[in-house]
Amino acid sequence: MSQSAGLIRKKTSPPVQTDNSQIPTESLEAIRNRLNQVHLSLRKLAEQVNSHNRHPNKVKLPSYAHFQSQFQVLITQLHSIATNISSNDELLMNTNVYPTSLFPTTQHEGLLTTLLRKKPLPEVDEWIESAIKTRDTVNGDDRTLQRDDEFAEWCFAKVQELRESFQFYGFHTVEELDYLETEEGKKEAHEKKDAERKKEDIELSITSGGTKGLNPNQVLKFMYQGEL
Amino acid sequence: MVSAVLLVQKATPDTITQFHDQLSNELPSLKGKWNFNFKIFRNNPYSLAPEVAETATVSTDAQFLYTLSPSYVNECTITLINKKSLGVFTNLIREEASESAKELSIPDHHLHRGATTGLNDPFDVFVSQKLESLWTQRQLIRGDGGQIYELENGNLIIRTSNVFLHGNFRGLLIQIELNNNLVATGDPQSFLGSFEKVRQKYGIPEGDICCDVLDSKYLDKYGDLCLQYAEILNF
Amino acid sequence: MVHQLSLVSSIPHSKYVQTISTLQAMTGLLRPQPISTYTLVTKPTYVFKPKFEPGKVNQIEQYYMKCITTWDDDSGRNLDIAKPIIGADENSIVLVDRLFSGNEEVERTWTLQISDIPIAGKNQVCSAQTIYESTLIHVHARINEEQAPSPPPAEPPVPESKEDIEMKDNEDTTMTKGSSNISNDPDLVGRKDSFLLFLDNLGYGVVNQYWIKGIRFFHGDIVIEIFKIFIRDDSHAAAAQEQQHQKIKLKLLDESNTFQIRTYINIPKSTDIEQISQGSKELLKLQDFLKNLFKLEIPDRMFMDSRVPLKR
Repeated sequence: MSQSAGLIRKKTSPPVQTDNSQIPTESLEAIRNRLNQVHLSLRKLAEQVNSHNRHPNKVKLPSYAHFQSQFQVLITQLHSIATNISSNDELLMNTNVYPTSLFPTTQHEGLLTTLLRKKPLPEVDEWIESAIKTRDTVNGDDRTLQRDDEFAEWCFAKVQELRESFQFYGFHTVEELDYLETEEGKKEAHEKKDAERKKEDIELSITSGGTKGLNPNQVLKFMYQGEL
Repeated sequence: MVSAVLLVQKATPDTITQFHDQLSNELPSLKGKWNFNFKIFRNNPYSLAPEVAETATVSTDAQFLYTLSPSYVNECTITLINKKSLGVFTNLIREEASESAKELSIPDHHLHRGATTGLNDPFDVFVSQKLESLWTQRQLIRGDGGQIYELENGNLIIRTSNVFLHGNFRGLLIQIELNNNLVATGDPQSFLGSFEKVRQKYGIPEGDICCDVLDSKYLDKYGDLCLQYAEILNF
Repeated sequence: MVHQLSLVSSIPHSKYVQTISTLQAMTGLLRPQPISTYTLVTKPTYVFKPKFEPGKVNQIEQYYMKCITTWDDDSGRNLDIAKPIIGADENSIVLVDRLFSGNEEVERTWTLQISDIPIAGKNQVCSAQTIYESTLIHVHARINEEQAPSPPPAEPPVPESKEDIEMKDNEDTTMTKGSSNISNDPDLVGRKDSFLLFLDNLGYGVVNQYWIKGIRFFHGDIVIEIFKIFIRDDSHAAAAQEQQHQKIKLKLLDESNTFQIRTYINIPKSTDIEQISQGSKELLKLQDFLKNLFKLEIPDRMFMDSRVPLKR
């Protein structure tokens, strides 16, 4: 009776008692969560694109930036699923799912077969094949992922190098700083300071020694009563 | 224009209508109705000259300020102080005045240069509201139901009005104005003679007449008029 | 009667050009209207001692009165307030004609203005004040040659620094009004001084004087005025120049060349609550709009008080 229901990892006690401690709940839960999120983001994206297709005049496609961020999100989610699965990979490979005797088998037979299925759909098979193929040959060149990674690292290093040759603070370029150090440069700076000082002096004379102007209230008092 | 003011105190309705009829017989051109307000202010007794401020509590001297606002010069108030100083005040700005009133209006640049806000009060209102510490109103004399007659091609204008003091009728006021070329302007003493001639000619009833001028060397149309009102309307 | 809502501010000389260009752009007025006035501050000569009856409230107050007229002689027209006036500089001397010297052909219009102290209140948006004024277009005072002329306006009780007001110069002419020694027609001279006589008869004497030169912008109902105040220069150096030109030398009230700014709305009726609240809102909006250019503030009402304190 128990054999016809499938192999089990461990011998359990008679069907009434089920031991749930061996079920890897945390990882399963985590993976389920992630799968759910992926499903949601994909659905939302599909909705946005479809609504545009249905009403091309009323609804615009989301912007390029939006697509890119969604893409980023999806990649992160898929990546975390992949890591999760690969870390629990031994555990999952040795686990088999089977319905307990409490499961109403006869009523939900279709559901049971869907849940227990391991083989992917034919179209999924095709996608997997074509993805693997594309990975190996891009644009006819014989480029592998590894080479792409190397290229990316080289670009990053180059940008760092270029960045170092720039100075991102201060008001003068390096040439100007050098010029300022020379005799001419010093004289020019001096003249500029003189001109500024002269301007300040004129200002001071206008404001008669920088005295603060009269408060409007005092002026009003003078206008009304003739005295400051 | 020299003016004289005459008050017929014992005027009865009969004499008034009779006079009006008589005048109409001369075929004057009617220049419309008019009225006036004449206010007499006296100095506030609690306002003291600085010399006596220490000792006295009430001022003993009597100074009077008269304001006359006839309706035929719009928005103008003629003010006379102590029968010596005269001021003509107006509220209209020249650019807002109609054609006929342009003579007595504030010149536009006074407003434009910022000397006035453009919203003036008549001077008698100004005195009664703000100068209360100096002048208090004593009497208000109103003239109503007046007519303006122009005779002799505009050389002679006779204005009549019924005078009321605090609601009581006090007489018939007749204001006679003669054009300058009909009198000897150099000699104010002779005015009385000219006006007597006018009175006889048009049968103006008997009553006090005054044709004084403020300054014999300088005839001031409105000032002299106000002075005459002040002398005549002395109840 | 004018109900005036106002806010004040000041800008230093260095900010003048920037302020003017901003206001020109904001109001669309490339050529703002110029202001130039001459004001006499006058005070009642008589002392007011009302009788204090128990239970009765004494409502009568004495006020300072301003007599304002236009300043339109050559120096008034040519003065450019954008240029700073520096004390020692020869180029920035301002000389004005004497007003009461009998040289005028056309009669001068004077506006007499008295203002109440602004209303007090919490949460005020702007200062609200009632101003009463009346304008005089013709004056004439009777000069009797037989009697002694009315005494020249009594020396006003002012602090020493402001003693030489114009009238002092004219004391000579007024004193000899009665006699016929003057070459001028005594009546003519007498007539020209009649405004001061009229004022004296009315009960007011001159306390101080000042000149204002400025410009004015209009923004909706709001008037924005930017101006400088001038007073008579009574230093020794100035006296020499005055003698030389027979004019009066002016100096700035505020030596630092600071400009004063006043923004106000005039409302004809002080009982029109709707217009008042709308005016206040507009002033508030303007204050917010210009807050980075200059800060408009509510003037202190005690400084706008023109009442003469009662002497006990």
